Amino acid sequence: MPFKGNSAVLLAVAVLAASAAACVTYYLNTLLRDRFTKVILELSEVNARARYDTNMFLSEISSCLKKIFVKDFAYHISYAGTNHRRDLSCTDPFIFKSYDDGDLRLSFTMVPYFCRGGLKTLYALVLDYIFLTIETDVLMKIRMLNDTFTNVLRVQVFVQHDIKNIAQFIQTSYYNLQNLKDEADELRYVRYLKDSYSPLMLKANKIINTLNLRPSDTPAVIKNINIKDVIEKLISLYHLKCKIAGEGSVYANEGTIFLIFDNLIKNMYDKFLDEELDLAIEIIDEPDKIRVMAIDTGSHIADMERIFEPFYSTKTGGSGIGLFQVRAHVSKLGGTVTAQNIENGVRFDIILPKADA
Amino acid sequence: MKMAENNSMTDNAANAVINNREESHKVLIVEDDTALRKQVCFAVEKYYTVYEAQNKREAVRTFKDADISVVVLDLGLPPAANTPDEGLKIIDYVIENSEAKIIVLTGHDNEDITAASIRRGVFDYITKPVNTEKLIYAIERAILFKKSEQKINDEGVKQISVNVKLGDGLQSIREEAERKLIRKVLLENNYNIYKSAKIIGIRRENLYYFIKKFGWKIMRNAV
Repeated sequence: MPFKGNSAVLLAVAVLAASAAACVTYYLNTLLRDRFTKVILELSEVNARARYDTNMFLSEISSCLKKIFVKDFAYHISYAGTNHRRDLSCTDPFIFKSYDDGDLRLSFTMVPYFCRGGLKTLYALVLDYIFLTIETDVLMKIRMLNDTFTNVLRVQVFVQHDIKNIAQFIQTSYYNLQNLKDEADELRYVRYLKDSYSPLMLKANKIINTLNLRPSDTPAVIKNINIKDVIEKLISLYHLKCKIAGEGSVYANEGTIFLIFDNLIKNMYDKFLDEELDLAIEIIDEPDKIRVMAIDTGSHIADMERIFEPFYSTKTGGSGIGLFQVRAHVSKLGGTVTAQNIENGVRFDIILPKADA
Repeated sequence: MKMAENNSMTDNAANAVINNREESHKVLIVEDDTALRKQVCFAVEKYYTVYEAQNKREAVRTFKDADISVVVLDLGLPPAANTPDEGLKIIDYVIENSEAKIIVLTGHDNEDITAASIRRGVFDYITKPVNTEKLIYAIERAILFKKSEQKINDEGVKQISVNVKLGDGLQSIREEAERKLIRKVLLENNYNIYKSAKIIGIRRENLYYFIKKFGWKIMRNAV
């Protein structure tokens, strides 16, 4: 009987011990899971603080990994001709993940103090999370670099085209000056130069503004400008046929007003060369503002929201700067510019305050 | 399109006779940069009758209206001024519809674009900026070639150039030569079928067959 009694006690103790062990294990597992989850959330915050910069992120994760008993870690990231790496300082067992598509090579290695059972899954989870974070950040960076290269190239092509024309203009005008025969020739040449003045100024203005991209904060000389005169000059320069109605003046910088309407009319001109269409511009003089409505009877714009985005262009070789600059300069003047598809074409509305804000 | 300066004739008369002036030869300047175009026009009109165009549409209209001998062509024209697309389209039009010599004057110094232009049959390819004397000499050479070709033409010999891809056999070369020769004779004779057939030495029915085969439209007023 005592034996039986002892057995029962022993059994009870064993059950209690097993239950206690299970409880402890469960408790420890819960603690570990919590700790790993917290570390993953922390890693996410570190990445945001690092502004999604891979190198900064990797330089900040050491303290997080220590919290989950990671002894050491290593990485190797190679893209766009750059190589970033950190090597292991020990030879202990490790877990790692890698990716290689020729252009992009990624690997991340972790050396935990202890990696067995359920812990293995938790470490694999952290490894996956870090790897995915690095991969996303690097891909974002590559995309950003590619976009930057493309946009710089666009601006470069545009500026080179215009600069070469200016260089050729200087060459040819020098030749012409050297070869003037008599007074009649000189008079004729002066007339040609007068014809060249406006387009040349416009071109120089455009190059400067393309390189500046955003409106300058430097105070500019402002004066009263007749909008109809500006539009008529540009329409004539582009050899366009366009009905122009109404009149109105604004008090602003002449270069800015020319830049705004040159970009707008150049946009209409490019479209005019691709398709048969009629153009009409109406200037409406309102108490404190000038409203300019520019209408073409051409095809609709597919993505109206995007046409004012910088570097967005639907044209082959388009720089995507023109309409972005129109909006930037109009906004700077305190006005607005909108575009909409209408029944038989496209309409741009530019509103400019009469007095410079 | 417009003729460079309406007053060019009167001014030129006042300028007396400039050496080598050959008003009978018409030079078209296709350039979208107005300031540069004006300067090139001024430099060239001392020697030749000058026309100007700032885009493909104006250039094509000028070719329909005037017998252009030489075209000085910028490749980067709107609506795609940063690419050579519009310029290459004009080269295609000129080669197909005119006997004019093409001098490319462009900022594009890319080898592929140069090759694309030469393959199409341009007379010269000059990159900006260039000394204006060189441009004038290039026009002079083009006119000289044009005159010599005319002389050879008057002797009953036609010159055609054909791009040959070796290894494709002779059939494609024969067809391309046929196409170019017939097109050339038709253009020169304002699509007069009787005259063209006689010059080539084929029957009128055969000439109609070729016109249909190559998908041409009979354009009586073609230059």
